[in-house]
Amino acid sequence: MPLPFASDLATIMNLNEFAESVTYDGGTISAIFDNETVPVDAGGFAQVHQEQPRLTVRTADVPSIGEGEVMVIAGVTYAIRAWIHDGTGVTEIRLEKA
Amino acid sequence: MVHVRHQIRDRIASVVTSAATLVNQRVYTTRVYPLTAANLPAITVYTGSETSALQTMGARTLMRNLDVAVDIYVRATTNTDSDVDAIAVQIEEAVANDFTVNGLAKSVVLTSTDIDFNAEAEQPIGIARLTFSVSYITAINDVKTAR
Repeated sequence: MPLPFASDLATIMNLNEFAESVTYDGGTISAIFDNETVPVDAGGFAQVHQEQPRLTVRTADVPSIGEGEVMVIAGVTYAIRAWIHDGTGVTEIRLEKA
Repeated sequence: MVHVRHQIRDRIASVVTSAATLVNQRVYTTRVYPLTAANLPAITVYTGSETSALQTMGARTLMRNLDVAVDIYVRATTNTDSDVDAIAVQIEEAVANDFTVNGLAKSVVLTSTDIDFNAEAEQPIGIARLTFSVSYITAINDVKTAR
């Protein structure tokens, strides 16, 4: 019996559960936003602590995703810089704060 | 009085602080704790490895060669490399104009520049390490006074 992944995903991406509204491509999608602070090491003696905005969305909601496209989350504007489709219908997007 | 190495580090940090207007005086010596977005752009100054050898037998003086690392940290969505280079201009020219490190050294020379970038977080970080070689002399039994 197949796992009910589609319905699970619909539950996870529900605005009343884990997701929040994201303005994208002239409309609104629901997605899970993470923005933890991470240590960044680029070769200096001291690390730099920065927030690392990531968005988890249904791949079907971003069918023509492109670098530089804009997303607005909780009033903050981000640019899409990279993304990974996991092949099961979920896409993780790396964002850059504008 | 403190070790001449300490005096050299402080002097270079002071020169860099005055000259590097692009970092708004955010110059830290031997910073071991992380920087945050609010700290950037910034410069850190460290004294690293040092070699020494007996220079004169009679007076027993040491010729010492000290590496001083000046790290530039920049955070920007565009032109990160240009920002790093602009700050490097201010640092390199200021240090070169203080060639004897205010009389503490015989010379200070830029020996290497390493530039790297990281885009793992909300905005790209650019870091350049300018390594200066500082040659100075002390008596073997008095390392608080430059010869």
